Amino acid sequence: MEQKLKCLRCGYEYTARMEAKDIAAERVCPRCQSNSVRRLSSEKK
Amino acid sequence: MTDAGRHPRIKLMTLSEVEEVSGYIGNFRVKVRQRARYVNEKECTACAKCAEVCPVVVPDEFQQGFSSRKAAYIPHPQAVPSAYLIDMEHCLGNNPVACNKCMDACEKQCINLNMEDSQVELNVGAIIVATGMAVYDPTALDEYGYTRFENVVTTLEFERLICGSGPTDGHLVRPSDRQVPRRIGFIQCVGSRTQNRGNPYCSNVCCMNTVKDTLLIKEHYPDAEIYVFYMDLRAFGKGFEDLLNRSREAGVHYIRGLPGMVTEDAETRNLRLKVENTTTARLEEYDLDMVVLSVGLQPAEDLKSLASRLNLSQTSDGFVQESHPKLRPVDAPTPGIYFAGCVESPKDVKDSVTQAGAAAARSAILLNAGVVKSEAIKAVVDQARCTSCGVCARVCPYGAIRVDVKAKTGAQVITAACAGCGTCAAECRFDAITMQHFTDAQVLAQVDAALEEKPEEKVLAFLCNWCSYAGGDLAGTSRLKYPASTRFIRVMCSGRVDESFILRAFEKGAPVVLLSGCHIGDCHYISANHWTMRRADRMWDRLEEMGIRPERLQLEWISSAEGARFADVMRGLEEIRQKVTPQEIEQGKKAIAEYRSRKAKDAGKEKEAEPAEV
Repeated sequence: MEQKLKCLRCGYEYTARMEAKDIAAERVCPRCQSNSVRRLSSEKK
Repeated sequence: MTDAGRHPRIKLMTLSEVEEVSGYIGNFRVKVRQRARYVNEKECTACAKCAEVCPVVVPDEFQQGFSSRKAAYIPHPQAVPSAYLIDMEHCLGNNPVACNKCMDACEKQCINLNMEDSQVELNVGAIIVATGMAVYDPTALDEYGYTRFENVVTTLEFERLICGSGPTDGHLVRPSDRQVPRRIGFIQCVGSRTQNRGNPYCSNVCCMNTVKDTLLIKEHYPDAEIYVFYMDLRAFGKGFEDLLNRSREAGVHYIRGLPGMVTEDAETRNLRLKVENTTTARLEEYDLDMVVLSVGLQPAEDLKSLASRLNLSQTSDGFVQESHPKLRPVDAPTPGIYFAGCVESPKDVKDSVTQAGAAAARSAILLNAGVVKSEAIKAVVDQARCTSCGVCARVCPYGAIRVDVKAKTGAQVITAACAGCGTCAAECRFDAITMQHFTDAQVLAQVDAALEEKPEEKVLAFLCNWCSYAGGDLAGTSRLKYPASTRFIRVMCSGRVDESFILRAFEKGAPVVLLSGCHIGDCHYISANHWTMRRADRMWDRLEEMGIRPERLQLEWISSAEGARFADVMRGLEEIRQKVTPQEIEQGKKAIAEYRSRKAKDAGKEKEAEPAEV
């Protein structure tokens, strides 16, 4: 499942492949390495 | 093993599998499935007559397939109990009995082909997990030719070839022609210390195992040429350096560099290795009779399912996570469960024995005491508020809360099993759970105090006791600079941080709030920080709905070793804080006030709608 993610530290938005088991995995922003990565539902901007 | 088998107070259950574990420290209930042996182990004298007449021949797993066994067999020499068993997977069949030769041959009539698996329930006070390990399968490393070339073997296979109880009675021969190999090469770190194919960690035992093997070969065949290809040799431990020196003095060649390719001469079945010797910076070639792949260790194949049954957490490499690497290295995070041997990490016999002794002593202390001395930080349920919704039981990483959702009996905390993370208290929507010493009132009072003066100039950080707070300590003792605007509130686990704490901080005017705990997988409360992450997701959505920028709530995982990262995170938070305007803070305060009044109204409506007797 493709999941839209947004880093709340640097604002970087990206898409990553996330399976059900990845929901509990540590999220790291690929740009600034912050863990403040929010999962965005499709309607959220 | 024989001593353990004979001990009057040790009950050895072979061919058994743990199916279910429930309960808590001092009161575990374990369901064990005991597979049928088809032989009465008490009556069997291991006379071997059943094996002599058995017509089924299969590769012997213990001898790594270098010899065969029958379907009626003893798994390995000195197996305990010393009794035969029937391998029903390969036996010609018991339904109907197709051969019956073993039964006819057994004078003591101890074979029963209709024997069935049984289930045993045990009540135990402590559990020691010692499931051992598996070895890395190098088939995927095609360049070494394992399984393609007969004379390429793994260290485990080599061990059988050189062992006195092995298929060749300890006479070293190479598999292709049963001739004594005169030129032998060992390739180290096969499947270890690699980011691509294999495991990223060092398997701990391979270097010294190879050194031991080289000495064994030299003892039996002094003229043998032995080459060891390595990245670097790790001979730490008492007497290990001496052993390595003895191996060098015996004439073993140690070559720094791992071969890129192994090829075989189709006629002679000899092997050729190409390697860059990084000491001489030259490309070298070696013709060898036999190559031994020093394969790494990895978690036992069924460890994952056992871990889920025992509620154990595993590290990223698949081994089980200990409670504390230095202070409680043989304890599982779940009280009453201990580890011994390679279940925790790859280790040699000496370390395994040491750890087993420690685990036995830890269990004995517990069982002899008869009581459990526990920390005072425990969850307490207010039955008047509890609605028996069951959320607390679902989120508890230790299974320390019992609640009958249907009977609505109210949640019950098993005090001995509760570790005090506080996740239940944070997740309870009805505020029915109090965490002793970290009550809502106590934490909220800290929030109020931290933001009493000039809140707009502060960043409020909730830090978990074990990792993030310790990371902050390390930053301090390392003299790392970070902005003075941060105010820390220590909680035992990030899972304790209630939504109301975060809202109170924003309500009091905090521009930025940080939620910080152990890295995922390193949580000292098994998986409590998973709930922190879920809560952060929920909070970001809620803040956005209220019109508060989600960026004002930050989430960071910081370990106790990451002092530099801690300082870096604090500097980043200060940058965010400076971008939050006073208008934004005021707007946030109003939004939270409206949210609270709306919530209070909804709660009132719900109450009115409830039947009077409830």
